[in-house]
Amino acid sequence: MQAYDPDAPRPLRKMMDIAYKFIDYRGQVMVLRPDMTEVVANLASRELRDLPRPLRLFYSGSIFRARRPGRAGVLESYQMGAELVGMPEPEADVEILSMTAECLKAAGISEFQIRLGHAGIMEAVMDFAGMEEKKKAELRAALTSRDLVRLGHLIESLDIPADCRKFLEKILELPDGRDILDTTGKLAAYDRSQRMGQALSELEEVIAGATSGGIGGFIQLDLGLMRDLEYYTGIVFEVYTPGCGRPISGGGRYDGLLKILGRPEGAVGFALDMEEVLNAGQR
Amino acid sequence: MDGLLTIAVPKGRLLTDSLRILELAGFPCSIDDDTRKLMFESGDIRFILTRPGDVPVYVDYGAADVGIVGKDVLMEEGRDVYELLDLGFGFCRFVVAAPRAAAREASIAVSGPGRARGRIRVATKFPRVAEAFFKERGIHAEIIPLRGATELAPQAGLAEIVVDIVSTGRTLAENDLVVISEIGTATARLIANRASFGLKAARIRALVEALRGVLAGEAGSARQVDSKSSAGPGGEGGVPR
Repeated sequence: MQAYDPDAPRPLRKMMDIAYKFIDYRGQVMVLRPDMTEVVANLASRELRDLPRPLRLFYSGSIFRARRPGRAGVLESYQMGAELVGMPEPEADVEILSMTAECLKAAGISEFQIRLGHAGIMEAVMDFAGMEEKKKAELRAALTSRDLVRLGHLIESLDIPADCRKFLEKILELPDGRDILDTTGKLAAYDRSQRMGQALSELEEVIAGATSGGIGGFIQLDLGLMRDLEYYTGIVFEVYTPGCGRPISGGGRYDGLLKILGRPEGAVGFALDMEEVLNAGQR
Repeated sequence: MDGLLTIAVPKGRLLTDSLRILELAGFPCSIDDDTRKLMFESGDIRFILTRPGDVPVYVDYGAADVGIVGKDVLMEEGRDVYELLDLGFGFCRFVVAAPRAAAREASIAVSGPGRARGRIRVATKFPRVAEAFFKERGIHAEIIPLRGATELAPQAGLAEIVVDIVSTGRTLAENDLVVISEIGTATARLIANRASFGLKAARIRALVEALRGVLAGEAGSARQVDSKSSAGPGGEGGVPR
């Protein structure tokens, strides 16, 4: 149980929305833990703040999220995961991706796909296009539900060069081969702030590291990948396996979350949805 | 990881157009009308025929990789599916309608909060869409979900107004109902399961490209016909498929 925080900063607000709420004996609104990463991040930035870095933490336990009417899913799911705090970027990201792959193999799943993107790329695109907060929220929602029809209309309305619109459409459309990086590079060349290019080179380093670590074959690039939770700032990923209609694992880099919690440092992690992993391992 | 590609196709008003566009795109589905079979395989494609409202369910769970479904159904179902393509056909409008005799009063009632005399009752096959519409306007309305024939509800005294989809408007007119407000428009969409979207990316991309080709061809020939007819009679060619 955690106390409900109505004034939670934006990246955590969505989670509070989908949390189960009830009232304790004092009349305080409480929630059933909707997410593990936040708990671990809190731990790292408070109780464990003086421990030497890098800090490697793992956990297992249940999380509870509202099962939205008419959608597949369950309200309680059992998660196992790990978080890596205070280690420089590409190495930490590669370590977490490798660990995800190792866990799945150990669970007997040999066929899976890690769909990999970078939260910073689309955020940079939105700033580059001079979008207002309302429009940004609209675009994020369209990305999360991968509503390509709406995305198409949104991109058309952006005040950016025609070339950029074309590149953007291409990288958001369907997961494609590695030439997606070239297209993104062309798009990033227009961005004077260079944030797009920076995010892209981070991603390229992670891919290079993953490839030399032997898990490159599992990775599929998807720059339109936007996860439901909004605290990710770097790489993001979701893992899919044949026979299962939803991700069995997911994670990413969430430096922004630790900044909000008062101890700015890098952090990246992943979680496995254990029921789905068990089902997939038995197939 | 590609294997079999399962396409969910809706029975009902979108069936003919769905089969036609799939066939033009090189994915022919020969439905045998004599049997009651709902699943057909041709090569490495499997077609499943379901009720329109069930298409997003099959796709959400991954029992179908992709599906064709009206945006109206998608809006109502609110499923976690990826929306890939606007197929253009099956156009309809989401409207709020009321009996002609009470249209003025009903228009005032839906124009904003507190305008209705008492509570408005709304009969609809789309309770979520209706609820969202009234909630957004701050109007207190009682949504009455029905399975069909909502046009009957005002006559029978079940509800003051209805929320429904109209394509020609004939059903409304026949029942002396008039449109008092528009909620939006809808056309058929190609949707995909989020896992299949990546696991079967090559197959799905091929389908999307082929369907796009058909749509572009149709738009092209329609334009050609337009320019011919404006140029005057006697022109040849430019006949749409």
